[in-house]
Amino acid sequence: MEEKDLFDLFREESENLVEQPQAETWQRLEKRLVTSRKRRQKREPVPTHWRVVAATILVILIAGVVSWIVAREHEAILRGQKQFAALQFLQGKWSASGGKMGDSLVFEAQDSTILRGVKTLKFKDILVGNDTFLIQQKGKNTFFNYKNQPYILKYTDYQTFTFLASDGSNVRLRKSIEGRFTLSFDEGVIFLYKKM
Amino acid sequence: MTEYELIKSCCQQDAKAQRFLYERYAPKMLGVCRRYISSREDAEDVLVEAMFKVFDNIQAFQSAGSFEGWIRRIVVNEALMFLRKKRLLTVDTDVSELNSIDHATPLSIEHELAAKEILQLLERLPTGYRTVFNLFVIEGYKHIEIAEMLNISINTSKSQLILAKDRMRRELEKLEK
Repeated sequence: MEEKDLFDLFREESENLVEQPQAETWQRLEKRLVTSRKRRQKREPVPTHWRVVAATILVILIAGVVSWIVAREHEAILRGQKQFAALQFLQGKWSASGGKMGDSLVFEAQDSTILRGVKTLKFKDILVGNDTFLIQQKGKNTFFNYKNQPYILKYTDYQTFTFLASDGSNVRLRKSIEGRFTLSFDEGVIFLYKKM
Repeated sequence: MTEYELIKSCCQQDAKAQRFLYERYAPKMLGVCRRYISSREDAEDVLVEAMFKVFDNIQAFQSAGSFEGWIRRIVVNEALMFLRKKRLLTVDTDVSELNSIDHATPLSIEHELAAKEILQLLERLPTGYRTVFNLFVIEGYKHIEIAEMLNISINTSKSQLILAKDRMRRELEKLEK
């Protein structure tokens, strides 16, 4: 008989080294697999489409809450501005009347002020005494002179006042500390307050 | 069912496919376990653990390689882990024994050996010899790889193989008489 290398023989024969496991072996493995499957199912990730739905709902909710908060804050600001204006009229030695469309506004000021209209403020409708005030348009250095308006003010000193309209235009008035202005607007509601 | 379909179904935790895959590979893998572990009971424990890992990690299998080879590697690793855990994997080298070995004579055999006889021969080897022999001769690992796997030096791996061969030769002589 031809002599054979033991290593080769082992290699060849090891392939035939097959043993049937006991039935109980599979049962043990199956038990473990079932447990593992249950555990996996428990921590099964949420399917992608449900994640997308949940994310969308979340975004909508967040957007809703944010816009509600912003709206509330905006409202509060407007309300606050009204209150602030009213307060400033008293504390800052302002006197004012009106604030509604078509009303005229009379006030006294001692320092720089900002006038802000929530709607378009038409400067041609601002009535002041026969003094000069300048309108500076937003982003431009052009000043318009307004003169010869009904004179109702009595001044002892000159001071520059800054008014800011809702359209961004600045109205600068050289007026007395104790000046008195009468302003009327043909449209819009205005809020008047002092620049701090 | 093709191997690809079987793997795919197992990836989806299909119980039937798992059973089918087990039945296809378990006998061969138990044979692998038995080459490393003498006790059948322990070998079956290792088989359960290894097959569980196969199913648990089947998604990690790269379809480019041999699936059976992949399972076999898991089984061998599991068997080695078992031997380590049971502290059976002691690799001692008796230098005097090593010096008395005739390295020149090739280890050959005159008659065919059945798989069962091979297993009996392997069972008679000390665990260290048997493990290195299995890894080198049957699994085809190199000494550098065996050294890494068993955390021994390359020379120890080589000497274990020489000793295993010598022991095997003596056992074969007994068998032939």
